[in-house]
Amino acid sequence: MKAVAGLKCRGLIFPLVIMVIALAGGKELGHGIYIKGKAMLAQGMLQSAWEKTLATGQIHKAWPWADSWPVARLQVKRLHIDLLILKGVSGEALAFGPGQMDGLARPGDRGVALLAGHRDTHFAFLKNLLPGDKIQIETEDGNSSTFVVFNHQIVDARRTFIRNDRTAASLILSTCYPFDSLLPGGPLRYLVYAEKI
Amino acid sequence: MLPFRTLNRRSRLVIALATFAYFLTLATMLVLARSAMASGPDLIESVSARALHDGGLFLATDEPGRLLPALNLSTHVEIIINGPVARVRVRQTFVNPDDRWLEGIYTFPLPDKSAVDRLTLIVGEKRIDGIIMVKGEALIIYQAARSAGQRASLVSQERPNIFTNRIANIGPGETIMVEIEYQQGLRFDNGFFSLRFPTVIRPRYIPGEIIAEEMKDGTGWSFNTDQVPDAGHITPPIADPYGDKINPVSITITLDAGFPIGQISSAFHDVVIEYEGASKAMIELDRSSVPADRDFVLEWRPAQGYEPTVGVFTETIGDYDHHLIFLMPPDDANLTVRAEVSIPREVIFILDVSGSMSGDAIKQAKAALGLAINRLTPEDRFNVISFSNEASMIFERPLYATDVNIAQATEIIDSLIADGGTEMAAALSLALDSAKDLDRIRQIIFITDGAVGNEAKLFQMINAGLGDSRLFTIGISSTPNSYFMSEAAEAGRGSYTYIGALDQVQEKMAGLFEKLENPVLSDLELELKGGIEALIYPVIIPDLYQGEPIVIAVRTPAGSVFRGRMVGQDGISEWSRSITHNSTGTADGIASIWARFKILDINRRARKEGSQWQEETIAEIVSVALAYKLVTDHTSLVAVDDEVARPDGEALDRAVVETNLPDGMDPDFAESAVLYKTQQNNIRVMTPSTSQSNQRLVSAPTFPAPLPLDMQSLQAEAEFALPQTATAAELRILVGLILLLISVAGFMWWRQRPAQI
Repeated sequence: MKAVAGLKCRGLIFPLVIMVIALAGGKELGHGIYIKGKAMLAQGMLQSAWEKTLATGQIHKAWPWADSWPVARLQVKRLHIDLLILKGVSGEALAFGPGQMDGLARPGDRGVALLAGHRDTHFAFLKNLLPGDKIQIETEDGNSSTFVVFNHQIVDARRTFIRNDRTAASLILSTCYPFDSLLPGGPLRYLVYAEKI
Repeated sequence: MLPFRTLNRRSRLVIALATFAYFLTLATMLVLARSAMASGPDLIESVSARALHDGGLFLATDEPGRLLPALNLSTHVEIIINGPVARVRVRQTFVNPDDRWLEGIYTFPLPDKSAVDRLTLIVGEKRIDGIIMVKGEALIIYQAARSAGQRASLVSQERPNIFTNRIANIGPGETIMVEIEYQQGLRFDNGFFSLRFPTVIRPRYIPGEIIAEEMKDGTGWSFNTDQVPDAGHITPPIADPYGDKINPVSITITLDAGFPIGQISSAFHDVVIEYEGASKAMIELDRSSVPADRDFVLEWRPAQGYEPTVGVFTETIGDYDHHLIFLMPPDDANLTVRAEVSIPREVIFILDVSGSMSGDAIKQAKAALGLAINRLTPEDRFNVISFSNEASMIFERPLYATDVNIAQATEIIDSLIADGGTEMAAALSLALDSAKDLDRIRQIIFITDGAVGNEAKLFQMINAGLGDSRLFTIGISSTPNSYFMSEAAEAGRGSYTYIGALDQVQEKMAGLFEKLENPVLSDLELELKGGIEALIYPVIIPDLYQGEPIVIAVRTPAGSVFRGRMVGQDGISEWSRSITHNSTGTADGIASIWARFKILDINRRARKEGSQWQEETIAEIVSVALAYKLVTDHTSLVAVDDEVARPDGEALDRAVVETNLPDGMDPDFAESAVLYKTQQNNIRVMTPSTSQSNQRLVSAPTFPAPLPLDMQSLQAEAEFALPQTATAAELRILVGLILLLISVAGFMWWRQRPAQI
């Protein structure tokens, strides 16, 4: 009896285990691809909302239930980067595009504007930005400003804070660091500092 | 889930393996991620060369006041004057107050015609002599010593009047001294000998577009641009202009004039003078040291009746005699016969009203300009070009110097404010282009501090566009760019003068008027007798203005008898004067001066031909420089100590020596223009510490700026944390793929298992 039961079990359990592993693998893979895909696709969907914003001067959301909406467009010609920036830096917003931190300056205005984006998607290009590179930012009102990259720095986010210093119109691009770390949540940030010219 | 025990051995094995693989994968990633994060703090320390502009960013630390490493610098200058030449020893003492090992970088000024020929690195009791090498090779030697932990010093030239000293491996709390020596010919003009020792580099304006690729080259406040590709090398960072002055300098001078001295004066410093006989004196600052924020200028005049007329100074080195010939045209040259034959002039004044002229400089410049305009006669025509970001003329075309026109011009000049960039090229092209008239003498008078980084391009413009005009420079402020003043005047076939204080305006301008209003001695040539093979520099002797001597350097085979005469045209007839060996003395360092004259001549010729960067030009300069051990554009002095000082495992930080804001310069200019950028070097990069308890904000000193008072200014007080900006996407994809692979492998194995057991 026991032997029979054992045989039966073997026949059923093994494929079951394999299936569980396969499912778990599929779920992880799917989720990962979903994050990447969302980041990529969203930019396309935001595009039409942005065009409407520019045309009408009103806020337009890319989809009705969106938490955020595009407030600026960032371009780095040398690296062929063209991104729409969302309002706010909440996790929800950042999944779809880089965000502009509320409460600090608007890009191009006197003060410090901070844009944050994911290091593994939209802002992966920060590591390729060189001092002297030009960053163009168009804001909702249609104004376009050019910023020139001065330098970058790696800082510890637990001890680094941004103050809205108004001696110049400056721009800080922020992303997590190291770029190739697999785990999220580290304390280091890679900051690129640029100033309006 | 099924109890583990109920599974057979193989199934158990598979599950165990799968589980093990899963955890192994996770663990590996964790370790990887950790190690990547652990490398963070090291990275922070290494990003010290150019960290963030602190306009918006403040870094916090547990250790207030732990700043970017700094070196304390003090300089002692010993000047020995012998007739028309000076030997100068500059001792730079670097003290490392930090607990880190440092590499020091100090960009400093020297006189524009200094022949730097000796470097000594002093470590404790040890003195290590530097050797002259091709620039690139010297750099490699230096870098190798630096990596090996040996103390070393590398002195290289950025401009004829800007040099950089790098000092490797200065230990915590340690003092290292570097002695740099040079030879210099002295200027004689309007009855005075003068010696200028600059102590600070007036911040240069850097025109052009930033070049991205070469950005990281150099440690200065400026980015490299297409017009000044080495801007990062000529713009040492500037210390807080509201803080205490740094970099003390002490100076001692031994003067052996070679003639009875009538008067000695120091333009910008109080000095104590002790005479030792009629022709000798010891001169010292009246205090032990002064901050390095202005040039030291010493002038001495011969006693009545002892004015020098001719001198030949000789030094023999190897197979050659080197002569420095100094010849004052005596009054038999018809240089002072202006009288009624004076030809009307067209005088174009160029007035620099850029930001660097703000403060005292613009007052001196306006005073000089006012004096010059009022000196014009109604037959003369004039115009004034002012420039900062762009250039403009006050009259559409040159007008007669009538009282009305002079009054109108004066009113406009008074209203000009010094602010903005220094786009000299625009002003020069306006002045040179309108050179059309032509039964008149046309003179361009350029009033500026010369604080630009694109000198060579401007000299080329002058060379190309001068035509029949003559260009004179008036170097304003106590820290003018002397290289610009003398070379622009050379290219412009004119002369130059300096005004560093309001009380100098009258006297210096009077000397300039003498030159402007009197004919020149032209077509000068040295004719040597007896077919001596001689190399004479400058090859083309420049026209001579009133009050100046002819100064040339000649090299002849050793022992040859030196006899000849100087000939020229004084406007009415031929003028000549014989030179013989009798008028000689010997002096050390003449050979260095000859070599410096030769290199200057090669550079001038190359500039006219546009061949500065051709191999032959460089090879020519290098061969002279190596033979005479001179630091040039293409050769450097390097000294290396054998001993390995820095232990293995100790990091080396870099400290860029800051310089003072030059005396009389408006500190507000700091905020608006150049100096704002210098804060990049004021960055305080902190080492993150493990303790989180004691967080506080530390800010680098900022230049006060008027803040617009608007609604948002309340928010200026707030500090914002940096958001989390990473996803687990890649981790998830990787884990997913590994799990899928395991399941596929398991499935294959299951399919191919033996049918029965």
